[in-house]
Amino acid sequence: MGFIQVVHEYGLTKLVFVLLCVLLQSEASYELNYVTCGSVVKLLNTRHNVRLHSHDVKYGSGSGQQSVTGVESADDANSYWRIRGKPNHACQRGAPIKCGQAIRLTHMSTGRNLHSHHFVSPLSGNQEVSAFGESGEGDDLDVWAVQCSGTYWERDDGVRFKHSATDVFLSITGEQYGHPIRGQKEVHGMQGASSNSQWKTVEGVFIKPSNEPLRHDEL
Amino acid sequence: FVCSSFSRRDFYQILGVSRSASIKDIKKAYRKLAMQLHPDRNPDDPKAQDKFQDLGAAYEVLSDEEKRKQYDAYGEEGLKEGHHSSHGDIFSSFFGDFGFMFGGNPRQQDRNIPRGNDIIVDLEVTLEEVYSGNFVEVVRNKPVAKVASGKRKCNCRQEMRTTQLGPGRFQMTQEVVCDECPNVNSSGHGTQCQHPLFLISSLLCPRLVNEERTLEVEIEQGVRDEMEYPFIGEGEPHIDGEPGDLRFKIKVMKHPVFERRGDDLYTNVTISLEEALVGFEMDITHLDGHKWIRILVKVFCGIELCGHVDSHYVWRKSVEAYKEKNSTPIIKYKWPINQVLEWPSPDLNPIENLWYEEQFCVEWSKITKESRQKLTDKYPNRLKEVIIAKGATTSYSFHFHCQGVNTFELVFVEFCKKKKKNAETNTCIFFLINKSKTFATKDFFLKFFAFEKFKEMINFRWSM
Repeated sequence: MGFIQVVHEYGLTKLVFVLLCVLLQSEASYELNYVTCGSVVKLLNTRHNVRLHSHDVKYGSGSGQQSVTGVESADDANSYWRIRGKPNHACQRGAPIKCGQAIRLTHMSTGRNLHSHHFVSPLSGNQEVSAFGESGEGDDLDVWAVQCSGTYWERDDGVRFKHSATDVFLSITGEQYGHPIRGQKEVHGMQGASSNSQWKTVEGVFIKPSNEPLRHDEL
Repeated sequence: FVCSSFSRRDFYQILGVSRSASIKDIKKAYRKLAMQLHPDRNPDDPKAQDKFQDLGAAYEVLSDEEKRKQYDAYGEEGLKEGHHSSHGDIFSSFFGDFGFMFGGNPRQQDRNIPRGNDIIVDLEVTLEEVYSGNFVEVVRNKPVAKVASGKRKCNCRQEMRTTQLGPGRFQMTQEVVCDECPNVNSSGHGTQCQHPLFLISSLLCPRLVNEERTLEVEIEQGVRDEMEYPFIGEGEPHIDGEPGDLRFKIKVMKHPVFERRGDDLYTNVTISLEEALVGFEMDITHLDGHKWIRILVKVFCGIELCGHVDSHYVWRKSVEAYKEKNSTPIIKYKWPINQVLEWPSPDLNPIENLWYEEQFCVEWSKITKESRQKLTDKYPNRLKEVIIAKGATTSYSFHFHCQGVNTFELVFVEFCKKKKKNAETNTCIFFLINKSKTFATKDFFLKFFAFEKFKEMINFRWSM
């Protein structure tokens, strides 16, 4: 039942009441407030309203590696990224990610890691961000630090991703590609934090922390 | 009417669990029974729906700590009113939105119904979890198409139509045929609603709305690596069709202690030489936390001692591993050339030497008298004969004399590479084989392999 019908059937006072109800209900109440290790999520750039995305399309310039873009659609499985610890530092399944923690973001469909390096991005001339590696294994340039206020990365938070090796922030400034990925926005690395480098988790599969210890440590 | 609907139900019996069952047991029981009792699976059973409802009610109460306490204390009537979740919700948290289809008709691979993408999530699990089983809760936040009023055309395609123009005369024409789909305004497809009051516009423009629910993924006991658990309909949505599936792929992580091969568990244990020869007891903590106490007789460091000479065992490191400080035993050993050499400890006078020998014999006889039968029963493998393999460079045996009677014999088998010119030492590997038909204690061997003495013996051997 849409909003229009409500107007017809109820008086104005009731209308205000309904509005308030809807407003209150639309405040998200999560069963799990934190972003945890092993979760598979979509990341929305809050300034430009696009989701971090990758696909089997390579850059025509720069490194020639797999491209990373921002897309508008909310139902594309190529926008899912898996949150993992840095190389040789497996993080425990379901453990909340701390602010400042170093992580890797592995593209779910292609198994490549979010990556940056000293190449120039094709549209804006900033630092290129690509997807690199095979089956989740790449190199040290795949590591990003989650920047947020507070102790843990909360799902409601806008956070930033700082590239550990080159200190740039994962950002979008609005440049758009043409054919064959028309309408998708360029994702690049930029010095200095800004509203262009804020991201939030949206859709995804969030793994809850386990109650019992997963491993018995004594031998 | 009210009376009949509140007949007492034993929720524990419905789920088939004990009253002290853990939450994990309850989830496991529910999932197993839900698959069996679903009405779609039992179309011929008139009571199927009721049984299924009972199952849902039982799970709802027993899986909630508060409700379970109330039920245990006061029974079903004692429960507070209001059921918050329908059974459909409970079922779909274990199997997904379209989970009920899997039992009867698998989801139609109808090319006319487009399907959203599948999502595959790697789920890392520990070997402990595989051993004992576990449930992992995940929160699925997904976009769901919100329906607006009215219909729209979708899935438009070309089709051939045959029309009859007259008797015996037909005409085939191409036509555009469309389906009718619910009206959905997706924010992700470029058509944004605009309204001065943003709040109202979001109500006026129903779009893909995000919904959230908790799913329960079971890590079944003994599950294999790469096994997939699907949740039907929990994947990516498709505006004009059905959503894809969410599949969890089990990834078993390497365990620091145990390795799984088939359904067996293997572990490597480092032991000393004397433990290898004599046997030992060891505590190993199993994957579910309980301790084992094992007595292992024949122990493998990749090989089998006592008889099989194809494989080798470099044990010099083990000898270095322990040092016996005080005891310096007298050992008589016999060379292949039948030369008998005695070497007493320089620290002991002849009387004390004798004392040592006696010490051994006394201990030895203690063992043989008291426990010989028990030990030989327990460890029959000790009675193996020695096989000297071809290729051994030398062998020599040690005889331990006790009051003049040969009570114990060890055979020392050595394989050495050809000595190179100017090389100080050879590269050799050794076997020590118990040739006697009796059993030796750990203490005995400790005394025998006192490191300094043995080292001396090796040097002596090579200087020859």
